[in-house]
Amino acid sequence: MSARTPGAIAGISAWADAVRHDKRAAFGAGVVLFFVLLAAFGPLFVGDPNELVGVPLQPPSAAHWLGTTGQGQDVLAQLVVGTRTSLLIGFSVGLTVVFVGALIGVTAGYVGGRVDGILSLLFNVFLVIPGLPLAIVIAAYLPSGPLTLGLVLVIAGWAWNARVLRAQTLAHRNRDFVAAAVVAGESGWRIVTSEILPNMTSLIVSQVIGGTVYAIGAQVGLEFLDWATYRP
Amino acid sequence: MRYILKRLGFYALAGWVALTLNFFLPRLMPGDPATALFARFRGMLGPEALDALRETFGLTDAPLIMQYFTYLGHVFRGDLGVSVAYFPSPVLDVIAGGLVWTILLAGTAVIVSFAIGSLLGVAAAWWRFGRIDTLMPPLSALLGAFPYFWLAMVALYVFGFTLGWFPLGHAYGDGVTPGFNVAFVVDVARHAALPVGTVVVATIGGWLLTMRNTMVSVLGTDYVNLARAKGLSPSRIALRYAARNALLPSVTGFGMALGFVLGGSLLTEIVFSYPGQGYLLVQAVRSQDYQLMQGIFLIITLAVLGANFLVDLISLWLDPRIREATS
Repeated sequence: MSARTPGAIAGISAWADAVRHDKRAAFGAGVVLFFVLLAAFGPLFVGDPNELVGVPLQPPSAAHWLGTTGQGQDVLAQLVVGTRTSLLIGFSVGLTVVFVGALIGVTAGYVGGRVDGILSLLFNVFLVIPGLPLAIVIAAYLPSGPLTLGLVLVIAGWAWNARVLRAQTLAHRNRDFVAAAVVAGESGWRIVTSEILPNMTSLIVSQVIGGTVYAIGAQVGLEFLDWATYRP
Repeated sequence: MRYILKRLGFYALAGWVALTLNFFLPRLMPGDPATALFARFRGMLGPEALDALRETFGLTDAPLIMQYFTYLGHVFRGDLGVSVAYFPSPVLDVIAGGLVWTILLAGTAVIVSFAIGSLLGVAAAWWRFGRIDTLMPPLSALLGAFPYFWLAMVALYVFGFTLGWFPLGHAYGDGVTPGFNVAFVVDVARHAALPVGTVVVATIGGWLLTMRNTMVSVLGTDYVNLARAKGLSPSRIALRYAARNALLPSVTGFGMALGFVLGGSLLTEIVFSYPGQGYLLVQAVRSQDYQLMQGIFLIITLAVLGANFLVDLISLWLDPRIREATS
Protein backbone atom coordinates (compact mmCIF):
# COMPACT_ATOMS: atom_id res chain seq x y z
CA MET A 1 0.00 0.00 0.00
CA SER A 2 2.66 2.46 1.08
CA ALA A 3 4.43 2.06 -2.24
CA ARG A 4 1.26 3.10 -4.06
CA THR A 5 0.41 6.14 -1.97
CA PRO A 6 2.70 8.64 -3.78
CA GLY A 7 1.18 7.44 -7.04
CA ALA A 8 -2.31 8.00 -5.70
CA ILE A 9 -1.43 11.50 -4.51
CA ALA A 10 0.16 12.29 -7.85
CA GLY A 11 -2.99 11.00 -9.52
CA ILE A 12 -5.25 13.22 -7.44
CA SER A 13 -3.13 16.32 -7.97
CA ALA A 14 -2.99 15.62 -11.71
CA TRP A 15 -6.77 15.33 -11.68
CA ALA A 16 -7.12 18.59 -9.74
CA ASP A 17 -4.82 20.25 -12.27
CA ALA A 18 -6.90 18.98 -15.16
CA VAL A 19 -10.08 20.26 -13.52
CA ARG A 20 -8.50 23.67 -12.94
CA HIS A 21 -7.45 24.01 -16.55
CA ASP A 22 -10.57 22.68 -18.25
CA LYS A 23 -13.41 25.17 -17.90
CA ARG A 24 -16.13 22.62 -18.54
CA ALA A 25 -14.70 20.13 -16.05
CA ALA A 26 -14.35 22.88 -13.45
CA PHE A 27 -17.95 23.94 -13.96
CA GLY A 28 -19.20 20.35 -13.69
CA ALA A 29 -17.13 19.66 -10.59
CA GLY A 30 -18.48 22.88 -9.08
CA VAL A 31 -22.09 21.84 -9.69
CA VAL A 32 -21.52 18.40 -8.16
CA LEU A 33 -19.68 19.93 -5.19
CA PHE A 34 -22.54 22.37 -4.62
CA PHE A 35 -25.11 19.59 -4.44
CA VAL A 36 -22.90 17.37 -2.29
CA LEU A 37 -22.43 20.22 0.21
CA LEU A 38 -26.14 20.99 0.06
CA ALA A 39 -26.97 17.37 0.81
CA ALA A 40 -24.38 17.08 3.57
CA PHE A 41 -24.96 20.31 5.49
CA GLY A 42 -28.18 21.79 4.09
CA PRO A 43 -30.54 19.78 6.32
CA LEU A 44 -28.87 21.33 9.41
CA PHE A 45 -30.21 24.74 8.44
CA VAL A 46 -33.71 24.13 7.13
CA GLY A 47 -35.50 22.22 9.88
CA ASP A 48 -37.98 19.35 9.60
CA PRO A 49 -39.31 19.09 6.03
CA ASN A 50 -42.55 17.46 7.14
CA GLU A 51 -43.45 20.07 9.74
CA LEU A 52 -46.52 22.13 8.95
CA VAL A 53 -45.17 25.65 9.04
CA GLY A 54 -47.72 27.83 7.35
CA VAL A 55 -50.71 28.32 5.11
CA PRO A 56 -50.80 25.74 2.25
CA LEU A 57 -49.84 26.72 -1.31
CA GLN A 58 -48.19 30.06 -0.57
CA PRO A 59 -46.00 31.78 -3.18
CA PRO A 60 -42.32 32.38 -2.30
CA SER A 61 -41.81 34.82 0.58
CA ALA A 62 -39.10 35.92 3.02
CA ALA A 63 -40.14 33.28 5.55
CA HIS A 64 -40.47 30.49 2.95
CA TRP A 65 -38.09 31.16 0.07
CA LEU A 66 -39.78 28.71 -2.28
CA GLY A 67 -43.28 28.89 -0.80
CA THR A 68 -45.27 26.10 0.83
CA THR A 69 -46.72 22.77 -0.36
CA GLY A 70 -50.36 21.76 -0.55
CA GLN A 71 -50.15 20.69 3.09
CA GLY A 72 -48.35 23.77 4.31
CA GLN A 73 -44.79 22.44 4.47
CA ASP A 74 -41.74 24.46 3.48
CA VAL A 75 -40.75 23.63 -0.13
CA LEU A 76 -37.11 24.65 0.34
CA ALA A 77 -36.72 22.33 3.35
CA GLN A 78 -38.20 19.44 1.38
CA LEU A 79 -35.95 20.19 -1.57
CA VAL A 80 -32.79 20.30 0.56
CA VAL A 81 -33.56 17.14 2.53
CA GLY A 82 -34.67 15.38 -0.66
CA THR A 83 -31.32 16.19 -2.27
CA ARG A 84 -29.67 13.97 0.32
CA THR A 85 -31.81 10.92 -0.60
CA SER A 86 -31.46 11.59 -4.31
CA LEU A 87 -27.67 11.84 -4.20
CA LEU A 88 -27.30 8.87 -1.86
CA ILE A 89 -29.44 6.61 -4.05
CA GLY A 90 -27.94 8.10 -7.22
CA PHE A 91 -24.32 7.44 -6.30
CA SER A 92 -24.85 4.07 -4.62
CA VAL A 93 -27.02 2.72 -7.43
CA GLY A 94 -24.65 4.19 -10.04
CA LEU A 95 -21.72 2.36 -8.44
CA THR A 96 -23.66 -0.87 -7.89
CA VAL A 97 -25.02 -1.21 -11.43
CA VAL A 98 -21.51 -0.77 -12.84
CA PHE A 99 -20.08 -3.21 -10.29
CA VAL A 100 -22.66 -5.88 -11.13
CA GLY A 101 -22.35 -5.09 -14.82
CA ALA A 102 -18.55 -5.35 -14.67
CA LEU A 103 -18.68 -8.60 -12.72
CA ILE A 104 -20.98 -10.25 -15.24
CA GLY A 105 -19.84 -8.50 -18.40
CA VAL A 106 -16.10 -8.95 -17.84
CA THR A 107 -16.55 -12.57 -16.74
CA ALA A 108 -18.58 -13.29 -19.87
CA GLY A 109 -16.08 -11.54 -22.12
CA TYR A 110 -12.96 -13.01 -20.53
CA VAL A 111 -14.03 -16.60 -19.87
CA GLY A 112 -15.94 -16.95 -23.12
CA GLY A 113 -17.46 -20.20 -24.34
CA ARG A 114 -20.49 -21.57 -22.58
CA VAL A 115 -20.21 -19.15 -19.63
CA ASP A 116 -20.32 -16.27 -22.09
CA GLY A 117 -23.35 -17.80 -23.79
CA ILE A 118 -25.32 -18.10 -20.57
CA LEU A 119 -24.35 -14.69 -19.14
CA SER A 120 -24.97 -12.93 -22.46
CA LEU A 121 -28.38 -14.53 -22.64
CA LEU A 122 -29.07 -13.34 -19.10
CA PHE A 123 -28.29 -9.67 -19.72
CA ASN A 124 -29.94 -9.68 -23.12
CA VAL A 125 -33.13 -10.98 -21.53
CA PHE A 126 -32.96 -8.28 -18.84
CA LEU A 127 -32.33 -5.67 -21.52
CA VAL A 128 -35.43 -6.61 -23.46
CA ILE A 129 -37.79 -6.80 -20.45
CA PRO A 130 -39.10 -3.24 -19.91
CA GLY A 131 -37.45 -1.80 -16.81
CA LEU A 132 -40.00 0.57 -15.32
CA PRO A 133 -42.93 -1.89 -15.18
CA LEU A 134 -40.60 -4.55 -13.73
CA ALA A 135 -39.40 -2.09 -11.10
CA ILE A 136 -42.96 -1.15 -10.16
CA VAL A 137 -44.09 -4.77 -9.85
CA ILE A 138 -41.12 -5.72 -7.66
CA ALA A 139 -41.47 -2.57 -5.55
CA ALA A 140 -45.16 -3.30 -4.98
CA TYR A 141 -44.28 -6.46 -3.07
CA LEU A 142 -41.56 -4.93 -0.91
CA PRO A 143 -41.93 -2.51 1.99
CA SER A 144 -41.44 0.98 0.56
CA GLY A 145 -38.19 2.73 1.46
CA PRO A 146 -34.83 3.79 0.04
CA LEU A 147 -33.41 0.24 0.21
CA THR A 148 -36.24 -1.18 -1.89
CA LEU A 149 -35.88 1.68 -4.33
CA GLY A 150 -32.14 1.07 -4.71
CA LEU A 151 -32.58 -2.67 -5.14
CA VAL A 152 -35.27 -2.26 -7.75
CA LEU A 153 -33.20 0.25 -9.71
CA VAL A 154 -30.19 -2.08 -9.72
CA ILE A 155 -32.29 -5.03 -10.93
CA ALA A 156 -33.77 -2.94 -13.72
CA GLY A 157 -30.54 -1.19 -14.72
CA TRP A 158 -27.43 -3.39 -14.61
CA ALA A 159 -27.80 -5.19 -17.93
CA TRP A 160 -26.72 -2.38 -20.24
CA ASN A 161 -23.39 -1.97 -18.41
CA ALA A 162 -22.76 -5.71 -18.61
CA ARG A 163 -23.33 -5.66 -22.35
CA VAL A 164 -20.98 -2.74 -23.03
CA LEU A 165 -18.24 -4.06 -20.72
CA ARG A 166 -18.43 -7.53 -22.25
CA ALA A 167 -17.89 -6.09 -25.72
CA GLN A 168 -14.97 -4.00 -24.46
CA THR A 169 -13.40 -6.99 -22.67
CA LEU A 170 -13.67 -9.04 -25.84
CA ALA A 171 -11.84 -6.30 -27.72
CA HIS A 172 -9.04 -6.18 -25.12
CA ARG A 173 -8.78 -9.93 -24.75
CA ASN A 174 -7.08 -10.39 -28.09
CA ARG A 175 -4.58 -7.55 -27.67
CA ASP A 176 -0.88 -8.27 -27.40
CA PHE A 177 -0.41 -7.14 -23.82
CA VAL A 178 -3.01 -9.63 -22.63
CA ALA A 179 -1.36 -12.39 -24.68
CA ALA A 180 1.98 -11.40 -23.08
CA ALA A 181 0.45 -11.64 -19.61
CA VAL A 182 -0.96 -15.08 -20.43
CA VAL A 183 2.44 -16.25 -21.66
CA ALA A 184 4.08 -14.81 -18.52
CA GLY A 185 1.84 -17.16 -16.56
CA GLU A 186 -0.28 -14.58 -14.76
CA SER A 187 -3.51 -15.83 -13.22
CA GLY A 188 -6.81 -15.04 -14.87
CA TRP A 189 -7.87 -12.90 -11.91
CA ARG A 190 -4.69 -10.84 -12.13
CA ILE A 191 -5.00 -10.41 -15.88
CA VAL A 192 -8.54 -9.13 -15.48
CA THR A 193 -7.88 -6.81 -12.53
CA SER A 194 -4.50 -5.38 -13.46
CA GLU A 195 -4.31 -5.72 -17.25
CA ILE A 196 -7.82 -5.42 -18.66
CA LEU A 197 -9.79 -3.35 -16.13
CA PRO A 198 -7.24 -0.48 -15.89
CA ASN A 199 -7.51 -0.11 -19.66
CA MET A 200 -11.23 0.40 -19.36
CA THR A 201 -11.06 3.02 -16.60
CA SER A 202 -12.44 5.87 -18.69
CA LEU A 203 -15.32 3.70 -19.88
CA ILE A 204 -16.11 2.54 -16.35
CA VAL A 205 -16.03 6.09 -14.98
CA SER A 206 -18.37 7.29 -17.69
CA GLN A 207 -20.63 4.33 -16.92
CA VAL A 208 -20.74 5.26 -13.25
CA ILE A 209 -21.75 8.79 -14.24
CA GLY A 210 -24.36 7.42 -16.66
CA GLY A 211 -25.60 5.01 -13.99
CA THR A 212 -25.93 7.82 -11.46
CA VAL A 213 -27.90 9.93 -13.91
CA TYR A 214 -30.14 6.94 -14.67
CA ALA A 215 -30.66 6.21 -10.97
CA ILE A 216 -31.59 9.77 -10.05
CA GLY A 217 -33.95 10.07 -13.02
CA ALA A 218 -35.61 6.69 -12.49
CA GLN A 219 -35.88 7.26 -8.77
CA VAL A 220 -37.66 10.55 -9.32
CA GLY A 221 -39.99 8.81 -11.78
CA LEU A 222 -40.76 6.03 -9.31
CA GLU A 223 -41.25 8.49 -6.45
CA PHE A 224 -43.62 10.40 -8.68
CA LEU A 225 -45.57 7.19 -9.32
CA ASP A 226 -45.44 6.37 -5.63
CA TRP A 227 -47.05 9.68 -4.95
CA ALA A 228 -49.68 8.84 -7.55
CA THR A 229 -50.06 5.34 -6.14
CA TYR A 230 -49.97 6.28 -2.48
CA ARG A 231 -50.21 3.06 -0.49
CA PRO A 232 -51.68 3.18 3.02
CA MET B 1 -34.36 -18.42 -41.79
CA ARG B 2 -32.01 -19.75 -39.13
CA TYR B 3 -31.56 -16.19 -37.94
CA ILE B 4 -35.31 -15.75 -37.57
CA LEU B 5 -35.62 -19.01 -35.64
CA LYS B 6 -32.74 -18.00 -33.39
CA ARG B 7 -34.32 -14.65 -32.59
CA LEU B 8 -37.70 -16.32 -32.07
CA GLY B 9 -36.06 -18.73 -29.62
CA PHE B 10 -34.50 -15.84 -27.75
CA TYR B 11 -37.81 -14.01 -27.41
CA ALA B 12 -39.54 -17.21 -26.32
CA LEU B 13 -36.88 -17.56 -23.63
CA ALA B 14 -37.26 -13.92 -22.55
CA GLY B 15 -41.01 -14.41 -22.40
CA TRP B 16 -40.52 -17.49 -20.27
CA VAL B 17 -38.23 -15.56 -17.89
CA ALA B 18 -40.91 -12.88 -17.53
CA LEU B 19 -43.55 -15.55 -16.85
CA THR B 20 -41.34 -17.21 -14.26
CA LEU B 21 -40.53 -13.90 -12.57
CA ASN B 22 -44.24 -13.26 -12.46
CA PHE B 23 -44.79 -16.61 -10.78
CA PHE B 24 -42.04 -16.44 -8.19
CA LEU B 25 -42.24 -12.74 -7.21
CA PRO B 26 -45.41 -13.02 -5.12
CA ARG B 27 -44.17 -16.27 -3.58
CA LEU B 28 -40.74 -14.97 -2.56
CA MET B 29 -41.92 -11.71 -1.07
CA PRO B 30 -42.90 -11.24 2.55
CA GLY B 31 -46.68 -11.54 2.94
CA ASP B 32 -48.85 -12.92 0.15
CA PRO B 33 -51.47 -11.03 -1.82
CA ALA B 34 -54.33 -13.10 -0.39
CA THR B 35 -53.41 -12.18 3.19
CA ALA B 36 -52.99 -8.52 2.20
CA LEU B 37 -56.44 -8.53 0.65
CA PHE B 38 -57.83 -10.37 3.66
CA ALA B 39 -56.36 -7.73 5.96
CA ARG B 40 -57.99 -4.97 3.93
CA PHE B 41 -61.42 -6.27 4.87
CA ARG B 42 -60.55 -6.00 8.58
CA GLY B 43 -62.19 -9.12 9.89
CA MET B 44 -65.28 -8.88 7.74
CA LEU B 45 -64.24 -12.13 6.06
CA GLY B 46 -64.12 -15.49 7.78
CA PRO B 47 -61.01 -17.70 7.77
CA GLU B 48 -62.58 -19.92 5.11
CA ALA B 49 -62.67 -16.86 2.84
CA LEU B 50 -58.89 -16.58 3.22
CA ASP B 51 -58.50 -20.12 1.92
CA ALA B 52 -60.78 -19.31 -1.00
CA LEU B 53 -58.75 -16.20 -1.74
CA ARG B 54 -55.50 -18.13 -1.65
CA GLU B 55 -57.09 -20.59 -4.05
CA THR B 56 -57.96 -17.85 -6.55
CA PHE B 57 -54.40 -16.54 -6.39
CA GLY B 58 -53.11 -20.05 -7.04
CA LEU B 59 -51.40 -20.14 -3.66
CA THR B 60 -52.46 -23.69 -2.86
CA ASP B 61 -50.69 -26.19 -0.65
CA ALA B 62 -49.61 -28.16 -3.70
CA PRO B 63 -45.85 -28.44 -4.25
CA LEU B 64 -44.32 -25.36 -5.88
CA ILE B 65 -43.60 -27.15 -9.14
CA MET B 66 -47.24 -28.22 -9.46
CA GLN B 67 -48.39 -24.67 -8.77
CA TYR B 68 -45.97 -23.51 -11.46
CA PHE B 69 -47.41 -25.79 -14.12
CA THR B 70 -50.97 -24.91 -13.13
CA TYR B 71 -49.99 -21.25 -13.50
CA LEU B 72 -48.40 -21.80 -16.93
CA GLY B 73 -51.49 -23.70 -18.05
CA HIS B 74 -53.73 -20.83 -16.97
CA VAL B 75 -51.59 -18.24 -18.75
CA PHE B 76 -51.57 -20.17 -22.01
CA ARG B 77 -55.34 -20.38 -21.91
CA GLY B 78 -55.39 -16.59 -21.52
CA ASP B 79 -56.59 -16.84 -17.93
CA LEU B 80 -54.73 -14.21 -15.92
CA GLY B 81 -57.08 -14.36 -12.96
CA VAL B 82 -59.77 -12.01 -11.75
CA SER B 83 -59.17 -8.34 -11.05
CA VAL B 84 -59.89 -7.16 -7.52
CA ALA B 85 -60.04 -3.47 -8.39
CA TYR B 86 -62.50 -4.10 -11.22
CA PHE B 87 -64.18 -7.12 -9.62
CA PRO B 88 -65.47 -9.38 -11.13
CA SER B 89 -63.93 -8.61 -14.54
CA PRO B 90 -61.19 -11.01 -15.65
CA VAL B 91 -57.77 -9.36 -15.74
CA LEU B 92 -57.44 -9.98 -19.48
CA ASP B 93 -60.61 -7.99 -20.24
CA VAL B 94 -59.49 -5.09 -18.06
CA ILE B 95 -56.09 -4.99 -19.78
CA ALA B 96 -57.58 -5.27 -23.26
CA GLY B 97 -59.59 -2.11 -22.54
CA GLY B 98 -56.44 -0.10 -21.90
CA LEU B 99 -54.03 -1.74 -24.31
CA VAL B 100 -55.39 -0.02 -27.42
CA TRP B 101 -54.74 3.42 -25.92
CA THR B 102 -51.24 2.59 -24.75
CA ILE B 103 -50.26 1.15 -28.12
CA LEU B 104 -51.76 4.15 -29.88
CA LEU B 105 -49.89 6.55 -27.59
CA ALA B 106 -46.50 4.82 -27.41
CA GLY B 107 -46.57 3.64 -31.03
CA THR B 108 -47.36 7.07 -32.45
CA ALA B 109 -44.80 8.74 -30.18
CA VAL B 110 -41.98 6.35 -31.11
CA ILE B 111 -42.67 6.52 -34.83
CA VAL B 112 -43.02 10.31 -34.93
CA SER B 113 -39.93 10.81 -32.78
CA PHE B 114 -37.92 8.35 -34.88
CA ALA B 115 -38.99 9.93 -38.16
CA ILE B 116 -38.44 13.57 -37.19
CA GLY B 117 -35.28 12.86 -35.18
CA SER B 118 -33.67 10.84 -37.96
CA LEU B 119 -34.58 13.41 -40.62
CA LEU B 120 -33.10 16.19 -38.49
CA GLY B 121 -30.02 14.03 -37.99
CA VAL B 122 -29.65 13.64 -41.75
CA ALA B 123 -30.05 17.39 -42.21
CA ALA B 124 -27.55 18.15 -39.43
CA ALA B 125 -24.92 15.87 -40.97
CA TRP B 126 -25.58 17.07 -44.52
CA TRP B 127 -25.27 20.76 -43.65
CA ARG B 128 -22.54 20.15 -41.10
CA PHE B 129 -21.81 23.11 -38.80
CA GLY B 130 -24.93 24.71 -40.27
CA ARG B 131 -27.83 26.08 -38.29
CA ILE B 132 -29.54 22.76 -37.57
CA ASP B 133 -26.25 21.13 -36.60
CA THR B 134 -25.28 23.81 -34.09
CA LEU B 135 -28.73 24.40 -32.63
CA MET B 136 -30.62 21.12 -32.49
CA PRO B 137 -28.26 18.68 -30.68
CA PRO B 138 -27.73 20.87 -27.58
CA LEU B 139 -31.39 21.90 -27.52
CA SER B 140 -32.70 18.35 -27.70
CA ALA B 141 -30.14 17.20 -25.13
CA LEU B 142 -31.32 19.96 -22.80
CA LEU B 143 -34.99 18.99 -23.22
CA GLY B 144 -34.15 15.31 -22.76
CA ALA B 145 -32.30 16.04 -19.52
CA PHE B 146 -35.41 17.20 -17.67
CA PRO B 147 -37.32 14.54 -15.75
CA TYR B 148 -39.95 13.47 -18.27
CA PHE B 149 -42.99 13.86 -16.03
CA TRP B 150 -41.91 17.39 -15.10
CA LEU B 151 -41.71 18.34 -18.77
CA ALA B 152 -45.13 16.75 -19.27
CA MET B 153 -46.67 18.64 -16.36
CA VAL B 154 -45.26 21.96 -17.58
CA ALA B 155 -46.66 21.27 -21.05
CA LEU B 156 -50.01 20.32 -19.56
CA TYR B 157 -50.05 23.49 -17.45
CA VAL B 158 -49.00 25.86 -20.23
CA PHE B 159 -50.76 24.43 -23.30
CA GLY B 160 -53.66 22.72 -21.59
CA PHE B 161 -54.50 24.86 -18.60
CA THR B 162 -53.23 28.39 -19.25
CA LEU B 163 -53.63 28.60 -23.02
CA GLY B 164 -56.44 26.06 -23.26
CA TRP B 165 -55.27 24.75 -26.64
CA PHE B 166 -55.57 21.10 -25.65
CA PRO B 167 -57.86 19.10 -23.35
CA LEU B 168 -56.54 18.36 -19.84
CA GLY B 169 -56.94 14.61 -19.86
CA HIS B 170 -58.60 11.39 -21.02
CA ALA B 171 -58.46 9.81 -24.46
CA TYR B 172 -61.60 11.45 -25.86
CA GLY B 173 -64.24 13.89 -24.68
CA ASP B 174 -67.78 13.24 -23.48
CA GLY B 175 -69.39 14.85 -26.54
CA VAL B 176 -68.32 12.27 -29.13
CA THR B 177 -69.44 8.70 -29.76
CA PRO B 178 -66.61 6.15 -30.12
CA GLY B 179 -66.43 4.70 -33.62
CA PHE B 180 -65.07 5.47 -37.04
CA ASN B 181 -66.45 8.95 -37.50
CA VAL B 182 -64.58 12.18 -38.19
CA ALA B 183 -65.56 13.88 -34.95
CA PHE B 184 -64.25 11.00 -32.85
CA VAL B 185 -60.94 10.67 -34.71
CA VAL B 186 -60.31 14.42 -34.51
CA ASP B 187 -61.14 14.38 -30.82
CA VAL B 188 -58.81 11.45 -30.12
CA ALA B 189 -56.02 13.21 -32.03
CA ARG B 190 -56.60 16.40 -30.02
CA HIS B 191 -56.39 14.44 -26.77
CA ALA B 192 -53.28 12.54 -27.88
CA ALA B 193 -51.42 15.62 -29.13
CA LEU B 194 -49.93 16.73 -25.80
CA PRO B 195 -48.96 13.27 -24.48
CA VAL B 196 -47.41 12.26 -27.80
CA GLY B 197 -45.79 15.68 -28.22
CA THR B 198 -44.06 15.58 -24.84
CA VAL B 199 -42.70 12.06 -25.42
CA VAL B 200 -41.43 13.14 -28.84
CA VAL B 201 -39.71 16.21 -27.39
CA ALA B 202 -38.09 14.15 -24.63
CA THR B 203 -36.83 11.35 -26.89
CA ILE B 204 -36.00 13.05 -30.17
CA GLY B 205 -32.43 13.92 -29.15
CA GLY B 206 -31.28 10.30 -29.12
CA TRP B 207 -32.44 9.65 -32.69
CA LEU B 208 -30.98 12.93 -33.88
CA LEU B 209 -27.54 12.28 -32.43
CA THR B 210 -27.34 8.62 -33.51
CA MET B 211 -28.39 9.49 -37.04
CA ARG B 212 -26.15 12.52 -37.27
CA ASN B 213 -23.05 10.66 -36.08
CA THR B 214 -23.52 7.62 -38.33
CA MET B 215 -24.41 9.88 -41.24
CA VAL B 216 -21.23 11.91 -40.79
CA SER B 217 -19.09 8.80 -41.06
CA VAL B 218 -21.09 7.40 -43.98
CA LEU B 219 -20.71 10.71 -45.85
CA GLY B 220 -16.94 10.21 -45.71
CA THR B 221 -17.02 6.81 -47.43
CA ASP B 222 -15.80 6.15 -50.97
CA TYR B 223 -19.12 5.20 -52.46
CA VAL B 224 -20.61 8.55 -51.44
CA ASN B 225 -17.62 10.30 -53.03
CA LEU B 226 -18.17 8.24 -56.14
CA ALA B 227 -21.83 9.24 -56.19
CA ARG B 228 -20.80 12.88 -55.96
CA ALA B 229 -18.25 12.41 -58.73
CA LYS B 230 -20.93 10.89 -60.94
CA GLY B 231 -22.84 14.13 -60.48
CA LEU B 232 -25.93 12.64 -58.85
CA SER B 233 -28.37 15.10 -57.36
CA PRO B 234 -27.64 16.08 -53.73
CA SER B 235 -31.02 14.84 -52.49
CA ARG B 236 -30.41 11.46 -54.10
CA ILE B 237 -26.96 11.18 -52.49
CA ALA B 238 -28.23 12.31 -49.10
CA LEU B 239 -31.29 10.10 -48.93
CA ARG B 240 -30.75 7.08 -51.17
CA TYR B 241 -27.00 6.63 -50.71
CA ALA B 242 -26.07 7.95 -47.29
CA ALA B 243 -29.20 8.04 -45.11
CA ARG B 244 -30.34 4.58 -46.12
CA ASN B 245 -27.11 3.05 -44.89
CA ALA B 246 -26.81 5.32 -41.86
CA LEU B 247 -30.28 4.27 -40.74
CA LEU B 248 -29.23 0.75 -39.67
CA PRO B 249 -27.95 1.53 -36.15
CA SER B 250 -31.09 3.59 -35.51
CA VAL B 251 -33.32 0.70 -36.58
CA THR B 252 -31.47 -1.59 -34.18
CA GLY B 253 -32.11 0.92 -31.40
CA PHE B 254 -35.77 1.17 -32.35
CA GLY B 255 -36.78 -2.04 -30.59
CA MET B 256 -35.14 -1.05 -27.35
CA ALA B 257 -36.65 2.43 -27.57
CA LEU B 258 -40.09 0.90 -27.93
CA GLY B 259 -39.71 -0.91 -24.65
CA PHE B 260 -38.41 2.25 -23.06
CA VAL B 261 -41.31 4.34 -24.33
CA LEU B 262 -43.90 1.68 -23.45
CA GLY B 263 -42.49 1.65 -19.92
CA GLY B 264 -42.20 5.44 -19.88
CA SER B 265 -45.75 5.81 -21.15
CA LEU B 266 -46.82 4.80 -17.65
CA LEU B 267 -45.71 8.26 -16.53
CA THR B 268 -47.27 9.93 -19.57
CA GLU B 269 -50.62 8.32 -18.92
CA ILE B 270 -50.63 9.35 -15.29
CA VAL B 271 -49.80 12.98 -16.01
CA PHE B 272 -52.46 13.21 -18.74
CA SER B 273 -55.00 10.86 -17.08
CA TYR B 274 -54.85 8.77 -20.24
CA PRO B 275 -56.75 5.47 -19.83
CA GLY B 276 -53.96 3.07 -20.84
CA GLN B 277 -51.82 0.44 -19.13
CA GLY B 278 -50.01 2.92 -16.90
CA TYR B 279 -53.22 4.30 -15.53
CA LEU B 280 -54.45 0.75 -14.90
CA LEU B 281 -51.15 -0.17 -13.25
CA VAL B 282 -51.50 2.70 -10.83
CA GLN B 283 -55.05 1.63 -10.04
CA ALA B 284 -53.76 -1.90 -9.50
CA VAL B 285 -50.94 -0.85 -7.16
CA ARG B 286 -53.19 1.49 -5.26
CA SER B 287 -55.80 -1.18 -4.59
CA GLN B 288 -53.21 -3.96 -4.17
CA ASP B 289 -54.68 -5.75 -7.15
CA TYR B 290 -51.73 -8.11 -7.63
CA GLN B 291 -53.34 -10.17 -10.38
CA LEU B 292 -53.97 -7.11 -12.51
CA MET B 293 -50.50 -5.71 -11.77
CA GLN B 294 -48.79 -8.88 -12.93
CA GLY B 295 -51.06 -9.22 -15.92
CA ILE B 296 -50.10 -5.73 -17.05
CA PHE B 297 -46.40 -6.44 -16.59
CA LEU B 298 -46.77 -9.63 -18.62
CA ILE B 299 -48.69 -7.96 -21.43
CA ILE B 300 -46.30 -5.01 -21.64
CA THR B 301 -43.35 -7.40 -21.75
CA LEU B 302 -44.95 -9.53 -24.46
CA ALA B 303 -45.74 -6.39 -26.46
CA VAL B 304 -42.12 -5.27 -26.23
CA LEU B 305 -40.85 -8.71 -27.23
CA GLY B 306 -43.18 -8.75 -30.22
CA ALA B 307 -42.07 -5.29 -31.29
CA ASN B 308 -38.42 -6.30 -31.00
CA PHE B 309 -39.02 -9.31 -33.20
CA LEU B 310 -40.67 -7.07 -35.77
CA VAL B 311 -37.62 -4.80 -35.70
CA ASP B 312 -35.39 -7.83 -36.26
CA LEU B 313 -37.41 -8.73 -39.33
CA ILE B 314 -37.16 -5.14 -40.60
CA SER B 315 -33.38 -4.98 -40.18
CA LEU B 316 -33.12 -8.34 -41.91
CA TRP B 317 -34.99 -6.82 -44.81
CA LEU B 318 -32.95 -3.59 -44.77
CA ASP B 319 -29.49 -5.07 -44.34
CA PRO B 320 -28.37 -7.71 -46.83
CA ARG B 321 -25.26 -8.40 -44.70
CA ILE B 322 -27.35 -10.02 -41.94
CA ARG B 323 -29.11 -12.14 -44.55
CA GLU B 324 -25.82 -13.29 -46.06
CA ALA B 325 -24.14 -13.95 -42.75
CA THR B 326 -26.89 -16.30 -41.68
CA SER B 327 -28.01 -18.00 -44.87
